[in-house]
Amino acid sequence: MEFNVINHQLCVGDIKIIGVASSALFLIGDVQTVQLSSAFDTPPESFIVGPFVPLAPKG
Amino acid sequence: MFSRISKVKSISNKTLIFSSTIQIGDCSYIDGNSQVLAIQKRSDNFQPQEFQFSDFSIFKRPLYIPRIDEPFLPQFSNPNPFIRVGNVHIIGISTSSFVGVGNVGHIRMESRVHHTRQIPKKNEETQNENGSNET
Repeated sequence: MEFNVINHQLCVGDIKIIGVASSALFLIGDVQTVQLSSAFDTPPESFIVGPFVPLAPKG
Repeated sequence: MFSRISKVKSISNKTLIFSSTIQIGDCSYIDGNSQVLAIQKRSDNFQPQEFQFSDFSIFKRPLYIPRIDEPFLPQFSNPNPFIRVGNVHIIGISTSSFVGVGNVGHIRMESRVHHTRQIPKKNEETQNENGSNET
């Protein structure tokens, strides 16, 4: 596949960001390759409503 | 090789934590990685080894990343070799994040987060407040 890009003027005003978090990326510039991977897990068994049974201490 | 010059008027940032980076200038590689175990628990005693990364499958599964070996021929031309940006205001950069000005070769970022909540039952809560252990 051929992919031709012509970059004419790129002019941006002010940028306001609250947060960049969890291996996120904010870049002003050119880049060749970007690979991003994210996994978030909160399964039903991670929501425990007491009573607590203390887990056996691990060696 | 395509590359433009980034012109930024100013950057202001309040908080930079947990292995995050602000970079001004070019670089070849960025490889970021963050693993988070978020525990919300109401308890008097925490065991030091109660929670371990190895107990959760999300930290053991192999990393899924998009392939970059697709057969395509990119061609870039830059009649205007500048990227002009005004003032940049950022409040927080956290957990292996990256904020940069300049050209980068290859970027790979990974994030794994596991949330756990442990909430006491209502009657258990009142027992603790009264200081009695009646069942």
